[in-house]
Amino acid sequence: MAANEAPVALEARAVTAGYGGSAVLQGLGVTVRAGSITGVIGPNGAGKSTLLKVLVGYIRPSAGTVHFGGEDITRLPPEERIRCGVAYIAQQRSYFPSQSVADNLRLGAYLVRDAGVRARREAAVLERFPVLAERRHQLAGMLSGGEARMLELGRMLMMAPRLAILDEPSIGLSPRMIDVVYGQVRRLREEGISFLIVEQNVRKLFAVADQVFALDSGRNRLAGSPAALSAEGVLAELYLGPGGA
Amino acid sequence: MLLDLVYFTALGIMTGGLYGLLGLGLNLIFGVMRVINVSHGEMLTLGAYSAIVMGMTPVTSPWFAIAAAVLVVTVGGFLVARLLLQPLTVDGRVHEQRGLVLTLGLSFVVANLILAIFGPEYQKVPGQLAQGAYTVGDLVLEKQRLVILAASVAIAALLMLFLRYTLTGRAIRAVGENPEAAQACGISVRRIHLLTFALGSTLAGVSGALITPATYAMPAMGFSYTLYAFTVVIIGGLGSMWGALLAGFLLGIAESVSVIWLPSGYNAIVGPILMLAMLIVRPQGLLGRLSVRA
Repeated sequence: MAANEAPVALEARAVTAGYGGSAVLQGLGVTVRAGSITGVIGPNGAGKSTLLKVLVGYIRPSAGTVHFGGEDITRLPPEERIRCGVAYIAQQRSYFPSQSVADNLRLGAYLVRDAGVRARREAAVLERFPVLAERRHQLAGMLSGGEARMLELGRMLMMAPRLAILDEPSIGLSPRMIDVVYGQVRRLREEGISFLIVEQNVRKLFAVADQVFALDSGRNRLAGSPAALSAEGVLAELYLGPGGA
Repeated sequence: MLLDLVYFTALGIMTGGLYGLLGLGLNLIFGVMRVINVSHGEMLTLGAYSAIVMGMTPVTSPWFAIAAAVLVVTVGGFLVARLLLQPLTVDGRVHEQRGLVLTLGLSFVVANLILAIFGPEYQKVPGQLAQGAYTVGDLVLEKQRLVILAASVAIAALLMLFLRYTLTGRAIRAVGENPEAAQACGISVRRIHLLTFALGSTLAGVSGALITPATYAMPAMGFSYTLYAFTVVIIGGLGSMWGALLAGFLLGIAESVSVIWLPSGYNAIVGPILMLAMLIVRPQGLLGRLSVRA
């Protein structure tokens, strides 16, 4: 599929944002096309997590805009963005260990008032992730790292999102579990969900992404398809510094 | 001697319920918002004086006084959370030091406002929650204190059921556990904070209204109840609701039974001693977790 021609799902333009006066992001922009997997990479402190927090509405940018599905969502609070179809899985433990797996899923559908819809979605999630069905009544804190990631994906699907924003989905997982997680990402993309993924595991990301943005010090450094980016060899420079192999 | 022990234990259980209720509110507020609420006792004072004001009207039933206290303290707690704590909230948590300093200041303001309005005299809610006493063998138990115990246990039970089985209750616990993930579920952390502070304050306010028919109120009473609340939370374990209830009863019993051996007036040191002992022997408290969740 020519990902470059699909309509734009999410677009952040010239975003400046940070914490208490210091701007972590300085005029940054990213675009996610509908039905694509878009990756964001960059060294520590590049502003990747801050960018995601701006996109999901935890941080208000001091300048710039965020559009989703053609609508300006820059000023919307997080819960309104979720209603619009933006889902977010934070870097670590984006779930509630002291509540049961079933309650975690129900919290995922917190904004869904219709009990029938909730039940249907829960059944679909449990069918997709049989391990969650087995452990439905256990505390989420008892799940392994990989199972917890499934719970996070399941929790996200309870809102039937159109765009999923993931912060380092591979962190802390075994190579085999990373494959399982990215297998799910691919499958969900086939089902029509767009992805924006921040990832340290560049190799894995390059294997699945249609488009990658490389950030450095809160600015756009490079953007393009994985093939084009690795050909340029600028990745080594980004991570190892000028002259690095 | 044995009769003394039984009698003072029974008395202790009856005040213990209130201590538990007080600790429950403090724990709820800390667990969800990470505010060390030093003004918790003043919410009790506010509840007590609301009950007293209601008692000055032609409606003298203490039950209406309790209702008035609930109303005033809930609204008061909501306003404090909205106007004072919300501006100090970053990333789903109230800034810890600023929250502490703010509630410390608030405790002085509330206590002195009450002093300015009502004067330093001891006050009492007219009427009683229940008349008379039960006699079991040689044991005489005031009905009113039993009503206070029953009310505190009932309120605590309702709170636990609410937190455990309702969607809003689960959302409150979710915000306490992981505000970022809660937000990702579409839970408004802002709204949950307002609700939690109002609810926690109400628990303190109800305690104030419940004790005033049995004891006296004065403007500076809040501080010692703040200490009780902290003692309960430290003994029971920070963040543990069941721990707070258990610790409330233990503290009530220990304090009450101590009068058998301690000279009168010295029972106020029982709480602080238990608290210090707990911090040395088991810093996480009876039912608390050792690790602090990030």
